[in-house]
Amino acid sequence: MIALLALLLLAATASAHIVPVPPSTCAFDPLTIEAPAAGVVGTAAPAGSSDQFRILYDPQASQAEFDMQSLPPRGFTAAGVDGTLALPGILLVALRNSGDLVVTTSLAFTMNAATTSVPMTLTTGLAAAAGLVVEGTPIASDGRFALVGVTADSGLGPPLAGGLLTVRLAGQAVPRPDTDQFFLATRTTPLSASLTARVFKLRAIFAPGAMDVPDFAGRPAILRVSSGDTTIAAVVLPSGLPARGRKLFVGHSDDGRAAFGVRQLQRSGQVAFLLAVKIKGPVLPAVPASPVAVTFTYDAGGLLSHLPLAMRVKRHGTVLHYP
Amino acid sequence: MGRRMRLPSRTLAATLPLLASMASAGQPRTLKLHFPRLIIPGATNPEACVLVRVPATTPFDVASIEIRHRGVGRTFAVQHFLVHLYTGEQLGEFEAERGHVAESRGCLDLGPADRDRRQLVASGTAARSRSGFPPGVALRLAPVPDTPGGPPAGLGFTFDGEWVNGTTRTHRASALVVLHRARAKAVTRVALPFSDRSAEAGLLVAPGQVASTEALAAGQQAAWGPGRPGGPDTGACVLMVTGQMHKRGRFLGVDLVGPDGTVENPAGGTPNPFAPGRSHLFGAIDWTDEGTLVRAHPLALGMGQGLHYACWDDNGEMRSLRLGCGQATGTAPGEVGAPAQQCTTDTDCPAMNPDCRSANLVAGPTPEDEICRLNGIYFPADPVSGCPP
Repeated sequence: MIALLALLLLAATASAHIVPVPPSTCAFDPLTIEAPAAGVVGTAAPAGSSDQFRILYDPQASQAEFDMQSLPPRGFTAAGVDGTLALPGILLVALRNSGDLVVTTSLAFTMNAATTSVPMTLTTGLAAAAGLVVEGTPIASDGRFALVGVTADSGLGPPLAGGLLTVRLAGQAVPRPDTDQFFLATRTTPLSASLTARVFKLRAIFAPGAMDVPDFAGRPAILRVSSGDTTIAAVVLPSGLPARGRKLFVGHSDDGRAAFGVRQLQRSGQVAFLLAVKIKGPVLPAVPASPVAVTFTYDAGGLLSHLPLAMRVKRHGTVLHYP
Repeated sequence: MGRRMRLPSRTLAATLPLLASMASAGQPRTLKLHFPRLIIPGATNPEACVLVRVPATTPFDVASIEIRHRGVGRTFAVQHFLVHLYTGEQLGEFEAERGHVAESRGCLDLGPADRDRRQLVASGTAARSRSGFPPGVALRLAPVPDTPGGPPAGLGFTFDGEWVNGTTRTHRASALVVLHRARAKAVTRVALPFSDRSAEAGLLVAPGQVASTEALAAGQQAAWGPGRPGGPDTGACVLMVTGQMHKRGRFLGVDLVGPDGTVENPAGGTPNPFAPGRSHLFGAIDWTDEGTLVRAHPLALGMGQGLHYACWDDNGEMRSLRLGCGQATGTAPGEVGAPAQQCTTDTDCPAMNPDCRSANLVAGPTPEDEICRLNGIYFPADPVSGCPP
């Protein structure tokens, strides 16, 4: 019994291990607003000290809290017209251990003495509207990230009229938060990939986070393949991936150019899926050296994942493949 | 040596049906409960929780609790593994979570509404550990009802595991918790869990502030002990002390106080990070794993003595701000006994209080509200001889 008590004591005096996530400071810079239909790009003035805000972290809720209560509306100029953009005082942004941020909010644009509220989902993943796909950047090792959003019908007047509107908010969280304690993001493991001027093909296995329940048939699917600033291919499947039986979901683009399918795998203790993608007519990136860094990003069934691929070059850059 | 009932150890589902007959067929020598296998991706630090319901109508007297971990190694370790005894009155809701492993910090995202009614009864991070009680002492685990006011229906446990995978490889982890029943003839003293939440009446933190429950008079008086409300009528022999907070709790300190309220802490206590120069009999800085104070010899509390405790809570300094529905101007919503309505945007708020804004942090049942509780295990002192040395 004495030995038991000793063991109890050992267990009891184990030191606490909390790893606090200290607040970060950040400012959105650059901040760009674009109306592609009108061909207008608005850029905010460089961020000043009054544009700094705090980000507080909540691992229990897996959220980052952007405290912008003291932030004045941000001025910008588009096609020679001055305006301001205001965000809510506090934004509760979902944060995953991958560094991905997502929030649905409302942006208040004031131009020509009129204020218009534009609902928008801002994400470091993919957003799409009217066939346009935009991609953000999750929190990187240096704290840099970019939130993007797009809407098909902004309701804004000139010079940002035309319906389609994109917003990009880039920033750097200092210090960079340790995201280990936040909810697990979808993890994707590549099996094979190839890229030619004719077709892009990819096979991978992915596992959702423990709290994720994918809805492949009920939510739109978006995917983008890129290398640096070059978009190799971007596809939107507004109807998601219709079910073909209980474990297979396959979606095709309206023009028949792209196919995206997932199949649930039988794996003990883990929900996992096999992913297969085929896209015709991709854009081959410039190939300065081998391997070429290609990123495959997808948002399907509510699952967001970024898959970096180091693709090897063959046949003088006309064929890229992984592994 | 008593009878040992061996149960299949592969799955929780396989275990429970056998345990269901525990009350009717006589109590088993051991209860074996499983934390199902969990996938831990590389370079992650997840915390996951499982609720376990064990049908029972009579108390189970525990002599020791053994925890065995599988899959751990040098680069893949258990950060904490806590066994909480559920003491609420909605055990039936555990059934809905049966076999489900939920990712959750502090295990606040699953279980019944009164999920905070729980007591830490064991913890262990080693591959194999065993928590026991002094000779002749057994911890009585009392069955609780499935619904409020109902008859005792079973025992409920919350298993709270946190793992650190420092490798790039995916690892698999699982755990087995074995409760060893005390032999009836060997039990001379029955230990009981205790809990006090009177400090919550002093929990009021304005936005952007860190404040102590001692800031209000109700919090200054918060204590548990013999002769106090909720305490025993006789002296108490305290075997273990711990605390309970939510995510905005940054420190919980416990003091030994005399009948006149004088602090009687022994030397060498835990320093208070918010009150320089002040130290406590016990202090906790991690709300997900508060740690415990375990005495080699019981801490004797005579009539009038007590354990005073207080929490230091952070509403927007280092932890996230509490948001609530209110008016854009004026005082922050939320007061003691009436937490502000939760919101994430203005659209969550009613017309009367249309603005989602920073709110006061007070005690409440949701993870967005705070709690400040003193928990522990004690047994009544002998009226003549007091506590054993």
